[in-house]
Amino acid sequence: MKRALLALWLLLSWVGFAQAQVPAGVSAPIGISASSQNVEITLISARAAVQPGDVFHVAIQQKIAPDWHTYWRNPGDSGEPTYLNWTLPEGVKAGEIKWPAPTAIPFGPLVNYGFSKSVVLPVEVQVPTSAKPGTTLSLKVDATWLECADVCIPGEGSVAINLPVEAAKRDSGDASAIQAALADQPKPLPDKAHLTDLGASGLQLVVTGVPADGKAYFFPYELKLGALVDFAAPQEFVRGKDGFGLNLTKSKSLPDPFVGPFEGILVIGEGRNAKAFSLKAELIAAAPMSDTAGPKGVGGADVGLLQALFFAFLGGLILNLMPCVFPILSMKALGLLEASHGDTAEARTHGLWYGFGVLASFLGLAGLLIGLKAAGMAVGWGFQLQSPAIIVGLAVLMVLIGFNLLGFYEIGTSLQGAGTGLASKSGHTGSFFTGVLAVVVAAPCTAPFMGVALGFAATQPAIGALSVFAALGLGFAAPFVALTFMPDLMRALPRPGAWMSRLREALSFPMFATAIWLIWVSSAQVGQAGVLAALGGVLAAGLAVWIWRTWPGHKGRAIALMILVAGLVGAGTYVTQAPAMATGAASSSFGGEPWTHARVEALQQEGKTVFVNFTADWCVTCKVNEVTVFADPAVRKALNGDKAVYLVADWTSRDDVIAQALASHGRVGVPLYLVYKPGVAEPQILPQILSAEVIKSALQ
Amino acid sequence: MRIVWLTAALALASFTWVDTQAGGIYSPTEPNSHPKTKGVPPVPGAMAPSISMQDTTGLKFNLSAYRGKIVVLEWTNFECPYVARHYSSGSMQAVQASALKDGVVWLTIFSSAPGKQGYQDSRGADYFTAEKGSKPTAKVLDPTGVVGKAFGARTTPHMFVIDETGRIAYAGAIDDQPRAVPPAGAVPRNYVREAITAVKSKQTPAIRATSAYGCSIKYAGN
Repeated sequence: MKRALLALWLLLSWVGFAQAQVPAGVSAPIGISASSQNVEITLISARAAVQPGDVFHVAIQQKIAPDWHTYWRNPGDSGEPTYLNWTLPEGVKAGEIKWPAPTAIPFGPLVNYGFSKSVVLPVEVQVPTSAKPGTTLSLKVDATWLECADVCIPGEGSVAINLPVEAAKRDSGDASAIQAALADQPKPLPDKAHLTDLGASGLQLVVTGVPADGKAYFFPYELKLGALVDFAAPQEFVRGKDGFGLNLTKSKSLPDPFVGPFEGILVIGEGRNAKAFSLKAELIAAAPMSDTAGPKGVGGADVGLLQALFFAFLGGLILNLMPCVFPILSMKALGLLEASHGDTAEARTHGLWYGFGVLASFLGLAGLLIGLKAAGMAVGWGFQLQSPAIIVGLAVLMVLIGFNLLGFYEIGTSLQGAGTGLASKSGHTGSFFTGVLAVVVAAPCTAPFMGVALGFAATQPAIGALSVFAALGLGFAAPFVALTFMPDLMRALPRPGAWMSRLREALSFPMFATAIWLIWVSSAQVGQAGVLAALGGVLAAGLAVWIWRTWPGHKGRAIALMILVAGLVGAGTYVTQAPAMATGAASSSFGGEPWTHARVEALQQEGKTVFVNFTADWCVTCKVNEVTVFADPAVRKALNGDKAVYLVADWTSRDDVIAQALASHGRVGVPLYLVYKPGVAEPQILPQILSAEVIKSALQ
Repeated sequence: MRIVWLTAALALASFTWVDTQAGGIYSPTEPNSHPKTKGVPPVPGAMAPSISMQDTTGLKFNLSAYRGKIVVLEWTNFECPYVARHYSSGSMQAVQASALKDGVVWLTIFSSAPGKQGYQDSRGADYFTAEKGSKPTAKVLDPTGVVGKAFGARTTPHMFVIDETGRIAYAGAIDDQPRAVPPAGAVPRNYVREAITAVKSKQTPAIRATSAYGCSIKYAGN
């Protein structure tokens, strides 16, 4: 019985395929129409009668059942184009299909290129001059195609048409339909187009001389091997000065190296007003087109380079006020204040060295980020904090700085004595490394403005990204450098005195607070192991400091340093080998299910509004929002109501899927807040600084 | 003074080193080895994700358990005409048989969601695989699509060849005939057979990536 059922199942599952395998019209004489299950094809001709030497068009018309489609010459992620195999009288020639522009048909994570409802595929036919009037030409074509809804069936059919040869050609009733199809054909692009390699995964199509208002889509032709672009990736529109660019994503099957030219169809505009152009783009090493139109919406993806530079500079300025940076800068300013009585030139030199240190560190970070991206890794800003070893190391560093501020130990000739060594090289190096240190400790405090600017940087080729990071560094270094360049301002600072050491000691407490927070982050990443490792590292650091101050001289210092390094390496090794926690932020982000793409889509189909919180424990802005806004009972009620579902994407540890999702919204870091409405594919992006009102109105 | 700054730099550098040794975030060679990494679809030359799967006998195993052997992944859907073409012509079985003879591990993977075309439970997968004369090392049931999405599998058939070190040597189509019914007289060039031959002789396949053709995979949630 079981076997019989299986056999029946087997039979049924093959019926569809078997039916399609039977060529239509085999038993009957071949007519001008044939059908498969869901597609009816008709062979139409622009001529009722041809004349010798005539050149005209015939066409295969496909009538496609609702919800089904057939494919373009490049079918996209799956599918197969329509193929025509002609049987023609001697001397008669038929050309290739003249493909109209297709539409993009999404299917789950894939995108196909094809046609719905109906399509006319014209083919040029040449009649030889030797054709004799009074005879009849029989044009026969065997067509195969793939018809798909959610499942696919190969279709095939043979159709034929008989055309009398007469002294003078005569148009048929189908001439106008064919004429209309030819008029709809993509026109050659009046101006030039080229492709620019954006590096790791990007490619930009640059089009000049054609006006476009924000809507354009490039359908590349098929390649002999592999594919040019990721068909499912969005094509970002970039408005340039004398044209526009489309940012494409390279296909994973793009041959390496790849050489052009690449051909395809560019569709500009939408619906009835859409215009299609055929183009051939050479691969040119040129600067990509950058946006000149400026921000267009809340998306954050449409920021011009100038805006990005401005935001980066502003973000850098604000970073100075962050609790983890301020003490270091104050310390430096105080040292300078004491050291440079009157010697403004020396103060300037120190300021400049500090600025170099900041700039070099930011450019170094940018280089690392670009390098990792080029190596194919999905990383974003804050990536350096996803490694528990780095977190533990930073925690120990914060404690060490705190000890220094408290005066437990002095480094080198000490800040107070820095004046005597101002002219020496080590003093300048010290200023340089103060800049480096400031950047290292600033890393956890991503200021709100930096999200957009750094997101923009990530979409740019190396030079654009580097300039954004440079602007960030300039902003960060600006206040301190400016101070050293303005003697009046220096003089306006209060006179040195005993208050300075009090202030210095007081400033150690923000450093300890930062250390506590970092230890908490490591506990979210790897659990108790993180706390143990960090506190072990702190113990080693304390021991090292004690030895340093108790046994002066080379021997004692060497031992102190060895203990410190051993403690750090031990803690780092221990913590990297600890298993990661399953979901770190679940407890601290106020409930919420873990986020996945599939879950968002499923909930949308159920008619639910979906709120997605992209967060990480090391992200200060995220935590501030969670404490001030998500903790609000009214917000929690709105998020967990009947209509809305709250999802959390936790990026505390490295997660490439989340990194990709961030990138698809033009971001490289958290926080990112998205609201998906049922039936609307594109989510609304909420501001990074949230309020209860913003959430409530977005969920309405 | 200088020595302190040097120490700080040294400490940071040693962390980076430790992190790399432990396969952490700075390690570019093993992009999917971090415990929490769910993995972006890899490209040829990259490490295949260390992902766990379950076969029709209920056995759970990790793909990395096959390190040291050449592994072929075959995404299938027996109701897809493109898959049917390769099984009714016997070409899939032939490539598989010669691969198995060479000690290659062959995993046939079903990523269709329940209720969608191509979905099989363990009994269906066993029955239809045997009925076609296919003898894969294991039949992997992936109704949630987790395995398929980790590899970025798009179509049936979509083929991957993984070398002994766990790196993807080839990804893409089974051959150079992206048609449900190839034109008469066409002699398909089988990329998977070529890739296995190259990997066996410790060479990089001449063709490492092609555009997979066939039916779209009917993932859950589409």
